[in-house]
Amino acid sequence: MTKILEAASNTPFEAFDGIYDPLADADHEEDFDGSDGQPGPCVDAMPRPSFVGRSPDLPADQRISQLFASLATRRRVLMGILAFLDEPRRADALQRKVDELQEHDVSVYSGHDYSLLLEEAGAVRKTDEDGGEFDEEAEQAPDVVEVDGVRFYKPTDGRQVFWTLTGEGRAYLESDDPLGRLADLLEEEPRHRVAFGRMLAFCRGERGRSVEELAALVDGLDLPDGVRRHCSYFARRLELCDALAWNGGWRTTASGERGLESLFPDRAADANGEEDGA
Amino acid sequence: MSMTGKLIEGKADAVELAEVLERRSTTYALLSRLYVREVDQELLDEMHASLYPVSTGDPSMDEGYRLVATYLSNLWTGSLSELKVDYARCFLGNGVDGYAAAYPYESVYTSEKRLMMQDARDEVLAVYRACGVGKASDWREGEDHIALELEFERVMGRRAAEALRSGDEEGACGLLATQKGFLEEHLASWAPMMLADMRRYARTKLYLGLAHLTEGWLRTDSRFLRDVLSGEDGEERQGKA
Repeated sequence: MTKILEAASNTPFEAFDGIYDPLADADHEEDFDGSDGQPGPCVDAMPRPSFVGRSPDLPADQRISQLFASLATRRRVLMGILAFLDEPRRADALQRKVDELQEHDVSVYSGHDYSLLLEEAGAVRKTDEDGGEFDEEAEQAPDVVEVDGVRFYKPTDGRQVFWTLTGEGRAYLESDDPLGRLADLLEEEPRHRVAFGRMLAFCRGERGRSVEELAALVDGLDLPDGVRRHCSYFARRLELCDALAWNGGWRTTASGERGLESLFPDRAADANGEEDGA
Repeated sequence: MSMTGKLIEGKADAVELAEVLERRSTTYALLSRLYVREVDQELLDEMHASLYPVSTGDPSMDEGYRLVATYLSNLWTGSLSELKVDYARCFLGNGVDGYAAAYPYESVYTSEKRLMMQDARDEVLAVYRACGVGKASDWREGEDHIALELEFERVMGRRAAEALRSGDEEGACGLLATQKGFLEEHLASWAPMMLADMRRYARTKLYLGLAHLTEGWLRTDSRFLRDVLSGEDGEERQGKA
């Protein structure tokens, strides 16, 4: 156990040479007029409820959309979780999957946090191993053992918790259209089409591209509106379309490969990416 | 004041009593640890591997152990997160009106305006200094935090056990009298109110159980100290200070 009191023995306690008076320098007579102070302890005082960000009255599909909108930067991870939970998965397996998804993308959110958020949004639910309803109320009682004639509780191993998609979660997963989003991006920013295409082609292959390499690529481009943009402007937009992903380097995803083939047929012919960014 | 009777009858009794005092100190250590900060994986594993008495003779302690053992029988991947949230809910709260949590400081429950660092803190600090103990350098909270007050009882109990094992019965008596005085004048005077609040805020059976357990333990230990310090003539032993 951590010691928070130490034996000072004959040594005077050093931190407090005198009597501590937090009000020593304050004009407390004016500040602590009894008529303005809080009342004493009240046994009827109730805790204020904490703020819950989303309306629980909305249907699940809207809550799911709200969640993805509010956690837009974690979209890839959330979609990865939904894909993983296509069948019942143990909670510890989900934790490992999230660790894998976030290996190069550290977040304060853990697998447990995401599962609670997705459950609250109605995208996932707890189940038993067979995908059946998980009884939240049921709980295991500890075993009772006898040692030297005295009875003791012995904690048992906990129940296995599984997670799987709800119908609304599955519908959201299936409605995801990264290729469509990429096409929309090109339609919204036609002047940057060349830059997007070059970047996708440049990041193909097993070797991820560093930010410096992308910056050199973009700096070498003749952008039509003359505005200089950092490479992250393009990488971020491609990432939101699931066309590009960071895993220690920027790489074109499978979805990005499909986008290259269908939306940039001239670039798709580059088999191994552009080695020198040219 | 001199003793009016013997605390123990012989060496065997001294060893037996020292063992009892050491077990008491272990319980104080566990309680202190549960209040000082959130449960971590190491502590959770240790608690899961432990046994908890079914019947102690005190209903609050029995209920506390039952709740704790039940919680530990339903652990899952999210348990540590649940416990961290419940610790914050119980002791930190989310408001600024002074009523949003069971603030684990004696000053909050014994000062008119529920403020920290009040007279109670000064009093316990004086007791600690008189007994030659001080807070660790990395402790940033007030000295009247329940974890420190429980830890003080642990230290006194351990010292009493050591005194008994070294044959210093009078010294042990004095230390036990100090424990009893501190328990009655401080811990037992405010902790029940804090524990009642804790039972309102806690959601997990572990912290609900901890509240019951602490209340029962303080009551049981107060009785134990009264009994062990009562002489044959019913007068209370003081021992040497």
